[in-house]
Amino acid sequence: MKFQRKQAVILLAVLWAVVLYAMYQVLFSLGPLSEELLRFEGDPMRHGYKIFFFSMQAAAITYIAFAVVLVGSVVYLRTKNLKWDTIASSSAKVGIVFTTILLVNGAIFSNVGWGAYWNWDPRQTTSLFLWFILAAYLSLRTAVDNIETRARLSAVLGIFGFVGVPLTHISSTIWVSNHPQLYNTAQSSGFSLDKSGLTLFMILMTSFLILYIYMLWLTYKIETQNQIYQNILRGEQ
Amino acid sequence: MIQVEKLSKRFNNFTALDGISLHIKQGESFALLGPNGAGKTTLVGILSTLLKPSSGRVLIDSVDIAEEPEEAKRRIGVVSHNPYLYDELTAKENLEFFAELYDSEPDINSLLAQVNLDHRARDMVGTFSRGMKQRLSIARAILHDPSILILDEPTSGLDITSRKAFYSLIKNLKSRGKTILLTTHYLDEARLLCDRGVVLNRGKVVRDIDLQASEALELEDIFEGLG
Amino acid sequence: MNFKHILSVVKKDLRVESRGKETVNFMFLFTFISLLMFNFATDPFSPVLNDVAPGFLWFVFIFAGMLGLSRAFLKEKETGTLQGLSLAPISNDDILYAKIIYNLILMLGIQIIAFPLFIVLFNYNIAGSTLDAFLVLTIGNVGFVVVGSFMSALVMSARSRELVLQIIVLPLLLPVIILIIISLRKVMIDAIPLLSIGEIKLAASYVVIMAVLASLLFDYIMEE
Repeated sequence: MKFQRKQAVILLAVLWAVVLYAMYQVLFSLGPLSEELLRFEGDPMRHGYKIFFFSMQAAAITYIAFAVVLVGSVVYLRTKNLKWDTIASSSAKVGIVFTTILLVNGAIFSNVGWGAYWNWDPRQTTSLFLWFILAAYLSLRTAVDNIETRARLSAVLGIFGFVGVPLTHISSTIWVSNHPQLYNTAQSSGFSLDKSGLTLFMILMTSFLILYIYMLWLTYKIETQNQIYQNILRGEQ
Repeated sequence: MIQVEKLSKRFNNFTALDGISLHIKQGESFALLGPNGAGKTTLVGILSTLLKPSSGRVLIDSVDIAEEPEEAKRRIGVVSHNPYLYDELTAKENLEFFAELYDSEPDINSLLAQVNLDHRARDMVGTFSRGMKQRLSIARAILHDPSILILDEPTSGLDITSRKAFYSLIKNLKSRGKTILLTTHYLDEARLLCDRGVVLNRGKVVRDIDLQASEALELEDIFEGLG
Repeated sequence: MNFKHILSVVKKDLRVESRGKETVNFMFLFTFISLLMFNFATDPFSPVLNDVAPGFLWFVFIFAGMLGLSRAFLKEKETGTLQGLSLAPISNDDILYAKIIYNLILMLGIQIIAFPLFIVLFNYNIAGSTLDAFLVLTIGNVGFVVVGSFMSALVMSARSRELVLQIIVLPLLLPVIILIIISLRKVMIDAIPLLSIGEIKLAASYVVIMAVLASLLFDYIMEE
């Protein structure tokens, strides 16, 4: 598929229109949290729970991006085909954007719900870990010049980091039970969505997913072009 | 004996070795010649098991280096321009350390005597001159009594006296039946030490040379002919 | 795994270090200075000190350890002797294990000197067993050394490796760092015996998983 400027503009315009519509619906049409789930009179979670509509999607995309990094890394080490390295690194680049969105959303959610932007909630800790790993992965890549060495080393780090994710989650669950309690853990139990809520949720989820795939594809194209350009510069000695 | 069959090595989209085949008999001394970037270093890297080939295979005394790298390593000694020695250890400690890695128990003192360093056995290698380090490097390469000695531009940066001392050591090893593979830039060096050789260019064997033949051979002429 | 080879490399590294002593000296001086700085930054009569001091102690080790880590593989890479090791019939894994053990010995050396120093400087009264506190730190240091040694090999061919190393090691160690701090506080403040602390077991399993992963992936780091 060749890159078409027109296609890109149309795709992004449609995507944004859908996202903006869904956001509007979530913020102004969706009802508040049902009374029995509220912890006290005037609980900010009454409407604050709506942040969930954005942080949940960002979290899902972050995990998908991470899984793509893992798959790209493993396949690269097996086949030594640089295409897979480019897929992994592109996914890391796009992934860090979504992880940042997740971190910011999580902090806002945390502040609304529990009165502090940062409280070492397991999910917060895990997403911070993900962010650090992606940042480390990308920093390592900028610090290695040889294309193949870079691919090999970052693939190893990609695998190492992925295994750290569940472990970080487990250890931060334990950490929370020791940490000064900012909130009542029972409250983090789920809530159910009505039909319109669920539809909005799915619309947003799909838009985020399309956005991720499109950004991944674009980054992959740019990276590939860049490599061709680099090879020409080196004069194909 | 070294048997190289259709060996290729590609880096990204650069081909360093392109289907090389060689056969070096036991006890033969063989020279690899060629301009910079011809693929000599890559070939030596693969033979000494530091690099993995993209395709093809290498047999060292009928041991496949891809299948049994550790067994192959025991049959090879490598002397490179880097002596691979620890400056903070004495000459003797260096040899003892490498002997442990090869699980062999050589007579360290006689090894040091062979390379004329017995009087400096207890001195730190950091205080050695380059020529002395290179001689000690030979001792390091032969302490496990390998049948094959790979010399990768061993005399680059050595002065003429050290070079002569180095040559006489290699000749001595040659007379004891070791197979020798030498890469070098100097034709006189190749003539002095080797019977036969090949010229590599752009990853291919472009010419076989009989180094003991009387024809006046100028390496520059050969390289220029390569374009 | 060939114990004789591992031992030879450890012995060699210790001998090389004993000649120059540059790494050990730097690590010790750094530990001493940073303990003093932390000490200066806190009011010795403040009740808060009790809470934060275990964290200080552990951080000092991590940062001192960083100094030592970057040298283990780096020095051999720079002098080319790592290639010399690869020429010998020693498996890559054994080289890694040897470096881990060597780094651990350095860390334990620092720990033996710095731990009493900490108690004296902070006038710290350990509620639980001193031995338990020491063991918790040791387990933490094992985790640090396993991940750190592996990653120092990983960054060997990178530019500004010392910087990249820290960026990589600290996040990967996040779980160990968290769990060790909890365990240290439990021992040093709440006087809970080592064996009844669940976190330390979890930290130990994390370290084991990382070690297994490291030996599985190490060949990929060493190949060229």
